[in-house]
Amino acid sequence: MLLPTIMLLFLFCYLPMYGILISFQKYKIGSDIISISGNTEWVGLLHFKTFINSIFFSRVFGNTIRLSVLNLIYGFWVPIVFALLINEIRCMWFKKLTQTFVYLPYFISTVVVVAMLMSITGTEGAVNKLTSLLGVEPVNMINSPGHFDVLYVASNIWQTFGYCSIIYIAAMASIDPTLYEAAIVDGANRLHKVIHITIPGILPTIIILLILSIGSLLGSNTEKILLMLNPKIVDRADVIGTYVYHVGLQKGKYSYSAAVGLFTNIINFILVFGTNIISRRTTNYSLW
Amino acid sequence: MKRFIALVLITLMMFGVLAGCGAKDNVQIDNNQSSQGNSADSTKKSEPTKITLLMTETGAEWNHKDTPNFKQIQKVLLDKFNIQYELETALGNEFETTVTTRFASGEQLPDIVNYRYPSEKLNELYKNGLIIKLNDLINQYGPEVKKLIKMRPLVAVANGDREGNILRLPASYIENPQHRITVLHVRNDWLKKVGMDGVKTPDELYTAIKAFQEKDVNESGKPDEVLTGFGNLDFNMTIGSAFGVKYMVNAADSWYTDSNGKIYNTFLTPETKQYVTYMNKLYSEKLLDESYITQTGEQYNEKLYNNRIAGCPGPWWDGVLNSQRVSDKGFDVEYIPLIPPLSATGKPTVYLKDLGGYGGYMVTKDCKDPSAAMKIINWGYSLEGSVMNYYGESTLEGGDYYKKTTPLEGLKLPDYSMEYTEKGKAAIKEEPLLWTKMGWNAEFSPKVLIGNADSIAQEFFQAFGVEKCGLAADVQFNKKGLKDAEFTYGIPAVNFVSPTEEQTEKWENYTDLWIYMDEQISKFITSVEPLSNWDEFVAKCEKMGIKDATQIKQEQYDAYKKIMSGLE
Repeated sequence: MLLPTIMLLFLFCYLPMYGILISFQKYKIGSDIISISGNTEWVGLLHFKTFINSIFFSRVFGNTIRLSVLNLIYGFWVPIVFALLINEIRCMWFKKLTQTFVYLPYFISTVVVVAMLMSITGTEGAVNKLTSLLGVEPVNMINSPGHFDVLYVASNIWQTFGYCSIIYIAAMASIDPTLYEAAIVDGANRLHKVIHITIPGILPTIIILLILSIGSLLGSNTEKILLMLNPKIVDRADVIGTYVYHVGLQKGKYSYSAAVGLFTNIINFILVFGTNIISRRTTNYSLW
Repeated sequence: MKRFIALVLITLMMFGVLAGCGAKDNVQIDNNQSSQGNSADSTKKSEPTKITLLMTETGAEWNHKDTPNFKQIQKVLLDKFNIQYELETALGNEFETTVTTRFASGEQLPDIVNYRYPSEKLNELYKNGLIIKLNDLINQYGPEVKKLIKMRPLVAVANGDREGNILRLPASYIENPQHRITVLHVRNDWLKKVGMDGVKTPDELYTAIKAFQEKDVNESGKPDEVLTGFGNLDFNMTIGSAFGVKYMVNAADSWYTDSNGKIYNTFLTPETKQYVTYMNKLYSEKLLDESYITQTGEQYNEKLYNNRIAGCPGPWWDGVLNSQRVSDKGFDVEYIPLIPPLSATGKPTVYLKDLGGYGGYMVTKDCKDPSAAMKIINWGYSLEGSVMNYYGESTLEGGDYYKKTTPLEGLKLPDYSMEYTEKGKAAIKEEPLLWTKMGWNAEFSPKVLIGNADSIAQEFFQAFGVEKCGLAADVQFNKKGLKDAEFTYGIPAVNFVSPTEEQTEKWENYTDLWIYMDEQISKFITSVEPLSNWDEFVAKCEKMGIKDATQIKQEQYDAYKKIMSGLE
């Protein structure tokens, strides 16, 4: 019964990988990726060297790392804390209602989220109206480099924390209830139970998700950044994904953008691999 | 048993998926299809030939294919040539990405694509067999096309390669000042309120907008009257030209020539620095809308309907259209175009848009019947086709919305000239975007309209009426203003032949340079980058290879001049 799964995986995940060969070619649209007549122009690592030597390399690389690290630092623990809090609620209807409302933002389209951000943080928006009551001059935050990180990370957290907490809630559900009963007998209060039973119980899940998050350190919410991007914040906001979009899709440099994508994926793979080894040696928990 | 059934179903599903991913169509492209015959409508097939055009969608309320004019043109092409004409569209702001990705896939391309690629890209598409050359088709099926090329050899040069292959044909060839000039429109009623009689220089423009804010001419209680637009391009043409900036679009395409025929990039000139300094001053003092680079149509409309727009660049008719739209919201408004254009140097100029035509119909390798595609283009270029495209009328005598024009005194109009009927006037008054709604002057069929300043003056005045437009609708003002604009102040665009393969390869190395230059200009204007770094900016561009890029353009320009001198 594994055969259909393997076939699907092979057809849609592995077979298209041959397209990555254009990273090592000077690919022209309409030409074959592998040409029997030998028309393919192979250039080796030229595109990788061009990317590393590009004047935008440090900017896009730095911005990508910075935004991903900020997302990790400020965003990783929020679903965990939320799951812990939800787990402690005894009133079922309130618990379900809260969960429903926090899951909803995840399903709002990125375009709508950015439009909401622009509206709320614009000079005439709600945020500026509030701050102007305190005597602060209105600032168009979406055009302000100093506010970009906050807007990006906060909107990411708002959108995803509810949905991401599902995994932790599910992990908590699998903890043996007799442990809690034994803890009550031993005189543990709620906080003790959370610290000594719940958190250790979901620790493997936390570690696995942390490994996966570190593995996507060079990824970012490209669609959201693309919608928010403008000349005023480009130095803070331009990431590898948006650079690949501008250079690859808009300017038609497919080989170059494929090389940049491959470069990113290789680094992500090394990060996942490395984090997995460290985790296995230190905590005995790992992906493989 | 269950496992067996499941396996069979899954196998069928896999085959279905594989079939859906599909083999390439075996498309035979035969340019010498003699079965089509020589005359346009003598041969009728039992099944109509289906031809599909890929083009931009405006994003307005009405899609092109739902407009009455498109349906009319579809009917004509079916009756005349037995062609079933269909449209595929994509939104304008993402169209380049869409069409480039379609070409990159190389499969199931539409029959015709309407997009004006730069010449190096056009060559690449041709060399990789994605589009076909049109010379033979023009010779066999395109007498109207041949007529245009004979009249205007630049059409062939600007839309082909160095070997003389014609690779695309303009979707619109409109030789008319209205379509060649962008002007700055300002609020004439506000100028009167602040005691100014017109605006002739950038300093006067600055003074005017400052006065609008200080005197709160829109009575909003805050200094929110602003100059606005959609990005730098239109300001480059209207305010940049005031400082002597010749032709400034995006960095890769901003080239001009000095009096000795030497090519330079307009981004790096002292005049551009002056222009950028001025724009930075407007931006810093909040006289220029802070969201002018990124604003959407809705945000612009919001400012317009809230009576905040002191001025905006746009086509000739934009000011009048805006006047009408704001007046409908209850404000007494008069936008006027600034003619003569602003000038800081005492020599007002506007630069004229490229005469190679607008858009570009390319016939792709997957076109089932290239001769049918050429028949569509040829018919579009005919008087009948051009009139139907532009006015939606099926005869030169007109119909519901238009009738044959009675020229105003002293004007000499082209044959196709029409004016609104009473029904047309009422309709345009009720719906200022009537043209879009009806599908008039859209690029779903091509057209050639050789007009003059007289025809625009006629149309302008009669469309909007003096009571709505004031000065701008005055016939003599229009006629003189347009003639002045084009023939006195107008400077032609500089044209180039397509690059060689070696030049195209070298050009790939400059992508970062163009991105850097485009970004820096916006950063200088919006104060992200201090103007004191201008020299550093120029030095960095030189380090990144602007001189080599200029050499390439110089060679292309010299080759173009040689070809044109041979043709003329």
